[in-house]
Amino acid sequence: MDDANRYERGLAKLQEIYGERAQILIASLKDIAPDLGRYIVEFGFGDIHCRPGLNLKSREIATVAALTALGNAAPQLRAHIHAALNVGCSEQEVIEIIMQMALYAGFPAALNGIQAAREVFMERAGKK
Amino acid sequence: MDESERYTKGIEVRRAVLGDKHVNRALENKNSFNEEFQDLITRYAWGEIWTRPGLPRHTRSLITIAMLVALNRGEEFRIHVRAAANNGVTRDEIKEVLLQAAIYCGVPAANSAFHAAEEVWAEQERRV
Repeated sequence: MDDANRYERGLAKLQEIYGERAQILIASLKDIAPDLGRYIVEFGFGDIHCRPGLNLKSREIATVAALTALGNAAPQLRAHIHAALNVGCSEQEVIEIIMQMALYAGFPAALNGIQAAREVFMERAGKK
Repeated sequence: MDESERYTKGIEVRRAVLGDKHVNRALENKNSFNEEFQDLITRYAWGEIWTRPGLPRHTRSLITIAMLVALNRGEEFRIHVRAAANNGVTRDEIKEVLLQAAIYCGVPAANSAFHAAEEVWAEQERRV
């Protein structure tokens, strides 16, 4: 992949995954850390999410698992639960991913993950 | 208690828990770089905390081991597995702590801890 269009490519991927939320994320960093927003778009989405070899749904499953195991990234976990649901995961699949983390990262990490999922599910149910 | 009393009390408890051999080695390795830190450990960790009434040393050993698994502090974990025997902790009790840790810290953390504990005991048996 060429390096010239990383931002455009990343932005398109971000919009594919998050829809209107993509703009909110970038805008939220614009005032004091615009470069951080650019790195997220270029590296996270332009480089990594655009790689061939794993489809978007699998990438979001891996991301939800990693953020649950980290245990200190609740806002990011909520964002990627939204993303997972946007790219074809069911709510039940999200719950299974988080439950599996009880085994590898401990029950507290999984319980906090379930709480994040509950908030996302409720937010989306309220919007429908 | 003044600071020198605290140091004296601390070194006494440190020796009782970690063993003379370990403490002698630490004291022999004192130099201008680590001296203040060694004093701090003896006064604070051993003179303040480990000398407190309110919890028996046996219990303090168990909770220390649990926390070191949770924090992924391999070297310190080994030190405290060795030390636990001096506080009357049995291998079966350590096993129970590690099983409990599997739930809260995840199975891989407990797995590493089981291996590390067995290595400590194998090494001790080689020396006998």
